[in-house]
Amino acid sequence: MTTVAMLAILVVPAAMAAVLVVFRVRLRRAAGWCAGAASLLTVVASFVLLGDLNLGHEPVLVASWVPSESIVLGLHLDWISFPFLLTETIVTLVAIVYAWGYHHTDERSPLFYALLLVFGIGMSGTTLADDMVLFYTFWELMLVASAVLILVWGDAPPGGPSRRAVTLKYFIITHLGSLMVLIGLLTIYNAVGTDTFSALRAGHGLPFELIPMVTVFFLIGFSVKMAVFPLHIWLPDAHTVAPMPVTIMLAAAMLSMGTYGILRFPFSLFTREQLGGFAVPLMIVGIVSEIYGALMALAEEDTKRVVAYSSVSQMGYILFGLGTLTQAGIAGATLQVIYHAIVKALLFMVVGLVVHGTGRRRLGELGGLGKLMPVTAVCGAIGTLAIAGTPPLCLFDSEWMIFTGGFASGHTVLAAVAVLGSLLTVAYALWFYGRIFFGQVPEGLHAHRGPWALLTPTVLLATLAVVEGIFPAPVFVWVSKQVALLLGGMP
Amino acid sequence: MILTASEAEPAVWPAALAGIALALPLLGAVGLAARRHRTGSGSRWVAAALAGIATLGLAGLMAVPVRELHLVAWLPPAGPLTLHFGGPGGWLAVLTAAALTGALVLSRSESAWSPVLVLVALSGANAAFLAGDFLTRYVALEVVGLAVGLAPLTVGDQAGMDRARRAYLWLRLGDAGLLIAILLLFEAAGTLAIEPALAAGARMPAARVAMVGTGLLLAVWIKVGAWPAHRWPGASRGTAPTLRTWLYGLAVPNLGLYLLYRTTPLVGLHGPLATAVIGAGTLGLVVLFVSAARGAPGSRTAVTLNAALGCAAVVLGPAAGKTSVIWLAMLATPLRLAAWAADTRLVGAAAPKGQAEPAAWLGRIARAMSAVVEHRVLNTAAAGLFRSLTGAADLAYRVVERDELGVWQRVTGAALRSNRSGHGDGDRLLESATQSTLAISRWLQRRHTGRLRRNVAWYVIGLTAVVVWVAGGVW
Repeated sequence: MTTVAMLAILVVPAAMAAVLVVFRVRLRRAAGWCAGAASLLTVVASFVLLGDLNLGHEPVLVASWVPSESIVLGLHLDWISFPFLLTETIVTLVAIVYAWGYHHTDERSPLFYALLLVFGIGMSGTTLADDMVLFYTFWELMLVASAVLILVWGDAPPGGPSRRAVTLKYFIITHLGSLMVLIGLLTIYNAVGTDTFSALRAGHGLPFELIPMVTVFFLIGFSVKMAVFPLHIWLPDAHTVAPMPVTIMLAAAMLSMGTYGILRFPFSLFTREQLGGFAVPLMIVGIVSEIYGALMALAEEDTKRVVAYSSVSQMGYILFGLGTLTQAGIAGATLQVIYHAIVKALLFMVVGLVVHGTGRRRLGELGGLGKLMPVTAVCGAIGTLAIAGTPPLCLFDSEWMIFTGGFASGHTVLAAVAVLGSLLTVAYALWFYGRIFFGQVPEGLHAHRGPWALLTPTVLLATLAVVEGIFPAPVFVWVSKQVALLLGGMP
Repeated sequence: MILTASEAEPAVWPAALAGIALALPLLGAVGLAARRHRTGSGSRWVAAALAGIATLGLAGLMAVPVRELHLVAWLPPAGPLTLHFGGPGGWLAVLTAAALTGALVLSRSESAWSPVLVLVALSGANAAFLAGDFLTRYVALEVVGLAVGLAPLTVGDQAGMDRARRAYLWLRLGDAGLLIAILLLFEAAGTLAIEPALAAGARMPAARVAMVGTGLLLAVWIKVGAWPAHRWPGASRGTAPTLRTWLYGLAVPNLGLYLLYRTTPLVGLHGPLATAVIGAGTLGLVVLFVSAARGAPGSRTAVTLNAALGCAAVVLGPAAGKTSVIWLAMLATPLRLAAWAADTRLVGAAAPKGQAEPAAWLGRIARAMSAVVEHRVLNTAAAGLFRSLTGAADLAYRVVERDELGVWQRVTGAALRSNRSGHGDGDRLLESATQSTLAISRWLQRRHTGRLRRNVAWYVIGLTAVVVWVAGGVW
């Protein structure tokens, strides 16, 4: 059953994507529903796998590919990958449902939904892969699928860069990061002679002198995907130009793949002592990213860019948490990934509703929408307060853990700076919300209510942000089990 | 000896009374928010009744033999949330809740949202006064801070939003200091329970004590509205009388004073810090006195009085002991209420005419000092700091993202040039490889253009073959 569930997460959306492409004329109107059904199945399959993990079983699927070179293809789910898998499958589902209301149905719609599914497969496969070949293949698949989605369906704002230019930048820069990852993987393979992660974790025997070099490659490569300063330059344009469902997947799910990579490789393969030298640089880069992203969010006028830069800032918190190399910090960083996915998807959905309802996206052209779009305003308020780390909303829980880890690491000054830097997050969040929902309604601004397909996932995520904040215990348990597998087994 | 709920069974009464004091106002707020269009002025009386019942609940908690009640473990690593009954915190809670009841009864005009917000704040304030652990206290203070931030929004204009942001940011700055102190104490004690954490804090090295004390004092300073952090309560301008009088004028300062009461022993351990606090508080008092002598506008009287009381408290704490802080809080409560109530009536009115001109020398000092009081100097410094931060960010943006210095362009251009000059043969090889690939690509495109379905069918067949092959390997 678990093997079937694990395969279903990859095969069902792949098969549905193929069906959508082949029968694109007949399935033009039903494409969204078909994609949604396939995506829902992946979420169900993820919960089936959770049951197995709770029983202490780790689903594994292995096939020998090139026996002479000891290259095997494998899928494996453990507590490191599960939180990411669940986050990604749920985000893909809500993005597809959101697309029902946001995307205008035309003859290319089946291709659009097929690519969304392929994008999701790329992320699911990355988290499930237990060998280097599959990992890298799925890693690149998500890049290719998302790049095509931006290139074909992107919405370049007037006066901004073209879709083509944005896609090229996105592709080239993130691909450079991928190449860094590839170098790290090949170095390990050449030194150890196996490409299986399970075997590597069991005792990799990597020469000591290679560990710093491999770690540097991994950290830079995965930081590009995380979009931390200064490797974030692909993110603002890509998030701005991408169609909203793709933006949601990029911001809420794909960025977390960078964190997953860091946890899966350096943090899973090496001990705390071996990574000790990277702690302070990671924390410093995290703080710089936190502050820089927040300041840029304060400076931006385009609503999508504000939320995009907020991602740069939030990734800074995550990197800071990882850099603490403490149980609390790493658990907090993983929680932040999950909760950031909820809140960032929520904020982009709110922006989507505003853009859809008013036809405007610049802050200076908006205002007073609290009275015209009350449901959106309430959801936006929850998202804004959550991103500002207000208790009892979900991101407070993860930030508390991250800062606890910061002080536990002994780097008190850095931790204090990170705490004080979070005030800038409060500043831009309130500024952003106030400009859209308070004040006078600008002349000529009319707002119409969003369709249910846009409102339902938005309300659902707002509810989840509150519920997760008040009842964080189940997710804490998953993350605690994950942390026990990292840095050579943390107490 | 402290009796906990588990030791002194049954704990039904303390739990029920705690529910009345903490949960009832919150539930009432939810109910009033849902029915705010229907209840009209009746919501004020409902809120007053709920506040009165909560006051009785708090008074009842002072009488029960159980001193501690463990609630749920919210964030698992932080331990259970705990309430602690009795002591000055309990009395201050009773006093503050009773003051709200009185304010709501006496108030004549309330907005639709003000009873809701004061009930939310009452719930948070009660939890903060009774908290037995730092997590409960922090969250409760954040809830009160949120109510403070939301209050100016009831005015309903953009200025209200700006004032809300200012007040909330000030309180969050204080809470950031509190959080730093809490996490340092947690690191030293391994627990968030207030008593053991403060006891462990007292054993920390002097530098750590100074850091914890500074964080706690930052929170205290802002909450009590002591100079120079005294302007944020002015954000309540134009809000309903109860919000202004009780929430801004009494509840938040009392919470700050209670925090000062708990902090004072720790601050007293660090001589230079205690001296600095006394010095800063005294300076604040002098500045405020001179400002008052210069003739502060009537609408700022309550803010100035609030600031003076705050400065007096931070001086009294380290100088005369923590009990003095509680006495100050108790005795100053009627004064605060009266000043804020009077101030609320003055809002919008012109400054009283015929104010006495201060003496020339006093006027000069006053003008110099008021430059500081009015935050011109501090605002300039803060704005300068913010400008440098944003300037640095802007520079980074221009250099890194827009490449305005052309660094990347030069680097990549130079790399390409050196590649071409140094590898002529390689270049030609690369060029022919590129041309060949392009030719193959064009041939493939011609062959496949307009035949997508057939191509996909072939692709699906190929994919199926791969899947079958992989599946064969698995099973």
